[in-house]
Amino acid sequence: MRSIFNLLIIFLIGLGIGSSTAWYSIQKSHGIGAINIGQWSAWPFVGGSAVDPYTGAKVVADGSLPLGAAEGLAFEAVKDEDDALLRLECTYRLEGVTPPAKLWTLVAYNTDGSPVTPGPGGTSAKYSGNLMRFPDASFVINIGKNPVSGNWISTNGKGNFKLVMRLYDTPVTSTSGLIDPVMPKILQIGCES
Amino acid sequence: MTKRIIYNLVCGLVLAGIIHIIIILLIPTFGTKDASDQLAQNNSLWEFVTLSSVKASNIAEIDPFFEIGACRYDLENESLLVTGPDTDAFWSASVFTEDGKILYSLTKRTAIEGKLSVLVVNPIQMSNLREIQPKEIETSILVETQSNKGFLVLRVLSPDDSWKPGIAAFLDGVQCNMFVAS
Repeated sequence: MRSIFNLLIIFLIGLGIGSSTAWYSIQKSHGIGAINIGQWSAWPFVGGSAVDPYTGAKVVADGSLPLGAAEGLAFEAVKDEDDALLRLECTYRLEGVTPPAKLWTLVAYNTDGSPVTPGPGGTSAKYSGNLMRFPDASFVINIGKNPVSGNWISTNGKGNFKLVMRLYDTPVTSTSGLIDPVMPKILQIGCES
Repeated sequence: MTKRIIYNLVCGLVLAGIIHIIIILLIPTFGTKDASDQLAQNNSLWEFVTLSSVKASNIAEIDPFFEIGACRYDLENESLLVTGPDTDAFWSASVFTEDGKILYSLTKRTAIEGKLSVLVVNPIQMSNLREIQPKEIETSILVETQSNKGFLVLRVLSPDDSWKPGIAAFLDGVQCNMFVAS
C-alpha cells in the first residue's frame, strides 16, 4: 500500500511538472530558441531545416506558417516596455526604427491567432509602404481604440493581444552578424478603466 | 520519513524531465493544429489553393497583407514542379516538409530571372536529373528533400485592393505539376 502511494506521488509530480514545463516552454515569448530585442522575440532558426525541437513544437502548437529564412523574419511582442501584458483596453505608442528590410507589416492578433477586429474606420494592421515617417526614417504608430492622426492601428474589445512585425527580405536573417537589429519601443499611453 | 519524501521528489523530477522531453519531441508528430494537417484536410495533392478560398482553414497568424497559396506534394513517383507567370507583385515561397520544417525558401529577388519556378525532388530523382539533364533544371531552383511528403507555400504581397485583380491573375497562373524528367 505504502509503495503504491509513493509510486502515485512520483507519477503525479512527473506528469504535473513535466507537462506544465513543456507547455510553458513553447507558449512563452522570449522562450527557448528565441532572440530577443527589447520586448520583441524572433525565432530565426524556424526558417531552416536545423530548427530546434522547442521551436519546431511551438510552430505546430501555434498552427502558424513560419517564414523561411530567405523570406524574412517575424518578431512578436506580448508585453510593453514596462513589462505589462499588451491589453486591448489600453493605448500604445510604438516608436523607433526597424532593421533594414524590403518591406514589413505590423499586425495585432488576438491570443488565439486571429487578427484583432478593428474599430469602425480602422485597420488592425500596418504595411511599411503606406506609413508616415519622420525625415530620419523613424516612425510612430499609435495603437488604440480612438482614431489618431498619423499612423494608427485600430483595436477593439477586451483582453490581451500580441503584436507581430514581419520583416520581409531582410538581411537580419543572414548569418553574417554584421547587422545589430533594433526594434521599435512599445510604450503604454493609458488605459480605459 | 524525510528520506522517503526526498527520494519521491527526486524520482518525480527525473520522471518530469523525461515526460517534458517526450512531449516536446512528439508534438510535431501528433499535433493536429499545424498547417500541414490543416491543408491535408481541405485540399488534395498537387492542387494549388489559396488560403482565402479554403473555407475551413484555421491557420493562425496569417499576414493580412499577403495572399497565401499552397499545394501539397508527394514525391513517391514524380517530382514537383511549381511554376508561375510574371508579376510585378513581391512574392516569396517556402518548401515545407510534412512535419512543418522549412527545407528551402526564396523570394522574387532571389529567384532565377524573378520567375517562380521550383523543382522539388527526392535523392533518387536528383540522380536521375543529373543523368538526363532536362531543360527545366536550367530555369528552376532545385530543392532536394529526404522526406517525400510536404507542401509549398507561396505568399504574394497585396497591400491594397487595387492589387487584387493582378494578384488573382498571378495566383490563377500558378501550377503545381507532377514532373518526370525526360
